[in-house]
Amino acid sequence: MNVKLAKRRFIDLHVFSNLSIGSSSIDEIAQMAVELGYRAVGLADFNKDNLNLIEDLRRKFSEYGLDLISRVDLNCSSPSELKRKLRFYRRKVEIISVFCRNLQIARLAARDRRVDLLNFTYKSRQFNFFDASEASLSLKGETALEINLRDLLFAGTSGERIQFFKICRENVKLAKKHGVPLVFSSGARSILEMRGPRELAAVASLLDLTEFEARETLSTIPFNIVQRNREKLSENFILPGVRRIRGEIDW
Amino acid sequence: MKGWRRRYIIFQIYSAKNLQFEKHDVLNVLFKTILKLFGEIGASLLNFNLIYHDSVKGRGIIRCNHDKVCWLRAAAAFISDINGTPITFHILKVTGSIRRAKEILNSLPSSKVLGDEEAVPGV
Repeated sequence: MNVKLAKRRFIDLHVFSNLSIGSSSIDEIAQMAVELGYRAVGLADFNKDNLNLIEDLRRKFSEYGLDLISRVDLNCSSPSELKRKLRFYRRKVEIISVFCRNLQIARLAARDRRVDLLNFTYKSRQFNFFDASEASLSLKGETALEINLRDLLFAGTSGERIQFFKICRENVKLAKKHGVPLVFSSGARSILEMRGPRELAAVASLLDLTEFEARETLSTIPFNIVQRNREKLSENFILPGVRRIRGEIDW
Repeated sequence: MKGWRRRYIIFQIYSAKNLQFEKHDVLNVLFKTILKLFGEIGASLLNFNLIYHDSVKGRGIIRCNHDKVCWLRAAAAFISDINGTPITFHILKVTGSIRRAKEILNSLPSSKVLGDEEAVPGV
């Protein structure tokens, strides 16, 4: 029997353009993503001032055969600020990522179902709040752990890189033990910081992941998160598994 | 006894303004990155060599051991510049024979260079 397997769809969920802190234009990013073999790109440029650009950018990306995923990175100093921002952004963007700069934020973000991705710093063990409690809260809150490879690929010294590998490997081990989904992304701020999906997966496989698991972190897992959120954002959504059907049904 | 099983890796270097790099520059940066990441024993296990490089198109072929392709991909991700010029080192294809690798390299469209105005996105 001749069975043709479906080609894996890769996604880079964390790219910045010149709309925010990045240096490359939207066209350059789209062209590079196509060259590298991505099917979707998560643009993390959005804030309250440019949310109206999402649909225009989505059309532009679709000209290149790419899917645009709108994303917001939240970097809050207090739980109340995080709650306020979550209320504002949740119905407007597809992915919300929270940078956990203190323990309170980390715990709140992990258990809040409106948060999709958790980010931690890997420069120091002191600020890595991903422990067993955080992992079990993440599992209940359906949040995933995101590992941004930019910090590793562009680490200044070997010492920083070793530290990153060490902390990251511990986090990956904990996430695997508790069943927390893992997402790897580039965090690129220019097109020359973007890497091919298989190259990123190869770096991920250096962190005690099998080759298959590493590729899943760049394809199936992020796509599932995006699909789940798109379903929630659709106007017919009522509850998970329940949605309004339009038109008459012929019983 | 059967010899080493090898893989041939076709790569593309993307840089701003399509700058050209010499073969020894590419080999040098590859060697340094692998040595930094995997050490001397790792480099010997990889058993890699840059066997062909087209500096005009920024493409080439690397040979390595068949079970260490993943290491080479990881090393490629860590290459961020050549002589201070920012680049992206992208692996296009992995094959099992040099003949097939050269066939693929010759069949790639010339527009596969970043910044070329005639480049058409491969939708």
